[in-house]
Amino acid sequence: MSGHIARAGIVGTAQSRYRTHRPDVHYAELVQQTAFDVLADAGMTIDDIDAIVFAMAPTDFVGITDVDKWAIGAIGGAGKPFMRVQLGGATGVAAAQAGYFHAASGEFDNVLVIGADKVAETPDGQHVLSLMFDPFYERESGLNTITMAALHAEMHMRKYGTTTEHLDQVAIRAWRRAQRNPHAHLSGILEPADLAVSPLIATPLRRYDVCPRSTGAAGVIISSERAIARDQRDAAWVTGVGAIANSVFIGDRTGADADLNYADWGELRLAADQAYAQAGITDPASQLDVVEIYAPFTICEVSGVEALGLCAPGEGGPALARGDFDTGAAVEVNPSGGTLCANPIAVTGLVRVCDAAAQLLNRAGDMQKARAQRAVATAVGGTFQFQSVMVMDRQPQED
Amino acid sequence: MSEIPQDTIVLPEDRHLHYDFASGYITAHFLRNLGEGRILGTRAGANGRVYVPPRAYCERTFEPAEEWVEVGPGGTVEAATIVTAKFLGHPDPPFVIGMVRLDGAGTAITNYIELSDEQLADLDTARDVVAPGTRVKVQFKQERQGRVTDFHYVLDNG
Repeated sequence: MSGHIARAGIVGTAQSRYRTHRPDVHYAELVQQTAFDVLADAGMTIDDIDAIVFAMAPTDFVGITDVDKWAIGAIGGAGKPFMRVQLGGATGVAAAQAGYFHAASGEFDNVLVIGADKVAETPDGQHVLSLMFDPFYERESGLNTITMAALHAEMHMRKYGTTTEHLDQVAIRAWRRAQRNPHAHLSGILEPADLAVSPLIATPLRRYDVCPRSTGAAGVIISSERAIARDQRDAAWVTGVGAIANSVFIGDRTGADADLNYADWGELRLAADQAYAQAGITDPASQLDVVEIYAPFTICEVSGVEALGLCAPGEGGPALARGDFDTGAAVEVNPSGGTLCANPIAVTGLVRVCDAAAQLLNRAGDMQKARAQRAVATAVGGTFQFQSVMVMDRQPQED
Repeated sequence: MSEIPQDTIVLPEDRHLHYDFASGYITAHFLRNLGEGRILGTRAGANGRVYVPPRAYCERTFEPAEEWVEVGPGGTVEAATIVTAKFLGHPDPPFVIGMVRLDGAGTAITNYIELSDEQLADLDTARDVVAPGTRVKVQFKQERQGRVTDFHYVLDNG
C-alpha cells in the first residue's frame, strides 16, 4: 500500500501522571479523569464525541475481566458506539489506528481513544505476563517478557557488537530526558557507576535496562477532516499507519528459512515502510523531527532506531550512546524518556501517540521540540510479534 | 468530595482456576513422542521447512505439513541468556535458557541449557560458553511425562 491516506487528525491529548499504584481511584475513576482532561485539551464536551475506542490489554493485572465495560459510564460512553482494541503492548497504537479509521472513513466526526492500566492491583505481575505463553511448548521453557528480551539483546550484541555501555547510555539519557516530562514514572540522574552495580536480571539486561510497570491513563481525540475544518481546530494530521504481526514463536524467527530474524525488529521495519510510503517519507532521518518508540527495554530503543531507518543496522547502539537522537538533535527519539520511564502497559502505545502528537500541536511543555513538523509513534506487543506505527504531520498532505 | 476522609479500603482476593488444556492431535503426537525420547517436527510440502513445534500447516504457504520427521538430538544455539533473578514458576537462579535449532529443523525451540556450577560462576565466561553458534544436544529425563520439561539441552563436547 502506498500513497495518501484519508485525512483525520489528533486534536487533543491527555495523560495522567504515571506511578506504581493509584489507591486514590478505582479503575473507572482513573480513566474518567483523563477523559475530562482530553476533552479540555481539545476544547470539547462529551456531547461532541461520536464514538469511543477503548485501549485495554490483558485485564489480569487489574483483576476484573474485560474491565473496559466498567469504565463506559464513567467516560461518557452511554449512548455511543464503543469498541475495545487489544493487541498486547501494541494496544495503544492499534487503538489510535482504529480511532483514525473511524474518523477518516467519514463515519464519525470526533472519536475518543482512551484507556488505562492499573498494574499494581496484583503482586503477581510477572506470573500474569508468563501466562501469555502456550501451556504445551513455551510456558515451562523459561520464557517470560524479560528473558525473551534478553535473548533479543544477546542476538543483537553478537550480530552487531552492541555493548552494555551502549545500553547503559540509553537508560541514562532516557531518565535524564524524563526529568522534563511531568507524567514520567521514573526520572533522574543515573551514573554509569549506579548501573554497574545494579542487579543483573537476565544477561545482558540489568535493572535499568527494564521498564517499570506503571499505573495510569491516556487518551486522544481524533477528528475527521470535515470536523477539523468546521471547528477550526489545530490538528496533528495522521499521514501514515502501518502494522505487522508475526508468529508467536520467537524460534520461528531464526535460521536460514526465516523471513525475519529475531536479532532485529524487522516487523517494525515493515510496519514503518507501510506508514512511510503513505506519508511520503523517503528519508526518515531528515524528514522526521520527533520519534516516540515503544522501547520497554534499552535494547529495543537500539533495535527501534535501526528499524525506523534513523541509522543503519548495527549503528543504533553507538548513535544512541553518542546522543545523536537526544535533546536538540535533528531527530529527537523519546524526548519523553519513553517506555523505560513509564509503562502503563495497555496505554503505553497511546502515550507514544500523545507525546508525538503534543509535539506537533505545540503542547509538549518542557519537552517541546521547536518547530516540530513530523512525528512518529510506535508500539510493540506480544513476543515482539506486533509492531504498529503512526506517522503524524503538522500539515495535512497536499492533494 | 473534599469533605470525605482521604483514605481507602483494600479488598483482597485470591484466585484458583483449574484448567484442562486440550492439546489437539498434532501436539499430542509430539508430546507422546517426547515421552518416548524423540523430538518430532512437521515438514511443509512446498518449501520443505521443518516446524518445531510441529504445525499441521505451513504458516507461510498454508499447505499441509503432513510429514513427521525426527530432529536432533544435536542442535545449534541461536541465542541464550543466563537468568540471575528469581521469577515465580521458574527455577532458582542462575539458570540458562536457549533458543536452539535442532539438526534437521527449520525453527528453534526454547528450553533450559544445563551448565555446571563452575561454568556459571563467571557470567561473562558463561555467556561465551553458550554464545550463538554453540553446539548442544538434547538430554532426556529418565522419568518422562510427555511434557516439554522431559528434556533440556547440554553442551555437546563432541
